[in-house]
Amino acid sequence: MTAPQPLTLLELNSRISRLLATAPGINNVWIMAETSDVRRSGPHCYLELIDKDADTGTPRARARATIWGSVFPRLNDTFAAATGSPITSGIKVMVLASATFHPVYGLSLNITAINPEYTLGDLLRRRREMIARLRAEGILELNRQLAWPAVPSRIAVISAQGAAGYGDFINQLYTNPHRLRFTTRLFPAALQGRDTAPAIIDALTRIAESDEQFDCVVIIRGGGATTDLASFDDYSLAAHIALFPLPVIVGIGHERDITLLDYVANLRVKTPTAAAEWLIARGADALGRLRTLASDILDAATTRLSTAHRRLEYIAGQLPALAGAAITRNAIRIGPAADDTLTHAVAQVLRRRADRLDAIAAIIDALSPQATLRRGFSITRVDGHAITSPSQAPPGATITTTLASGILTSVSR
Amino acid sequence: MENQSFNDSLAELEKILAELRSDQCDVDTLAARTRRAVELLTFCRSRLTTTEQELRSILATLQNPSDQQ
Repeated sequence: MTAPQPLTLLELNSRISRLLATAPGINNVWIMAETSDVRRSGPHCYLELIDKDADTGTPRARARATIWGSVFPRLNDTFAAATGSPITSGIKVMVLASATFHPVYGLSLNITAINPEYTLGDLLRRRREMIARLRAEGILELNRQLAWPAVPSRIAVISAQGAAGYGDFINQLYTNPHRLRFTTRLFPAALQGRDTAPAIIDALTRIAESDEQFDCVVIIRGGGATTDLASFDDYSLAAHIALFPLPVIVGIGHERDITLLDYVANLRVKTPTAAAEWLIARGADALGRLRTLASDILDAATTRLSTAHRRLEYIAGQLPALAGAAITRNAIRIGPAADDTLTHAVAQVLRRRADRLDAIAAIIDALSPQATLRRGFSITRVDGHAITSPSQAPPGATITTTLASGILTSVSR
Repeated sequence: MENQSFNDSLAELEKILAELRSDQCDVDTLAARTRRAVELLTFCRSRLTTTEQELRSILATLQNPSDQQ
């Protein structure tokens, strides 16, 4: 019995290679798996595909895979545009692959296409699960329920230093047409890649150490590429934001991009500029309210003044007649000297009344920015109470009149 | 005054307005309340807005981020 002719290993591997190339069902098939150890080498992308047990997470199957440089850039861009993340480790993918066998490197799956919808669906499902968990823990809505101060003006900013979005935000804020006062402090954090979530959590922790110095937190990232948004879909980061003691504004993408953070942040805006605009609008509202209050108070005080005016004019109109009658009545009894005294007294009363009107006008002028305060001022009091009618000053009562430069004391007759 | 918050000041202004509109406002009250209103309005505006000089210094700081904490 002759020994069979042995093969070289190369011959064997070449046979396997040829068999695989023509075997049915293993070429150009769509397969579902999870990515791992994704790495770039030159234009090519090398990775592992794993099939994990849904319950235990232990691998049930594993294979090396390659996306050659001839297709990788286009495939990666399309994938990132659809899912918000480039092809990276730890995501579920559906790929079109062919099994190949290299005599030296062994089995490898050659990937030629990827279905972003599958990954997107998985990301959405995971996001929904995280939202459900945050809700079950009772923290989903906490940040959104925080009350804003009347005018949020002290702002802690989480952004990458020197990022275009940060510049837009600062520029918008500090050149606002109302000249509203804002103070900002940057807490730098790189907002892309797998370190995004820990970097933001770290920045939030630093802000929390002095949270009484701020009215709110703004997390912003420039526009541009929509890639990498998936790194914001992080449970721990979302929980930190939900539990943060200050309202958080998130402006990290464009309108159609949604991340988990949009569900927990107090306010979601499209862009950093929109975040600044919102804050400016709050300040402008407050200024408008002050303007309304100032004009309402001016109106009310003016009404009070004209009431006093009418009362005084009435008294002024009555006084000469009353005084004249008194003079006539008493002229015979007290002689000509009293004539002068009475006339003088009447003139004094009138002058005092006019001073008082001027005084009230002066106070009301203070509400009007154009007016000066130097128009004279007097208030007439009896027993420390301002009086509004002569009947409040019975004969013999001591009257004090407060003028701009002192107090006059006189006795009512 | 410094320790009074913007919200407290707004509330006080609303109260003064209500008082001025009521019939119980005599001359003393009118003088004191309007003076206080001016004070509060000035305070609130200064809390909200910045002066030219402040603005220049802020912009200068922003152009030299090393000055920032």
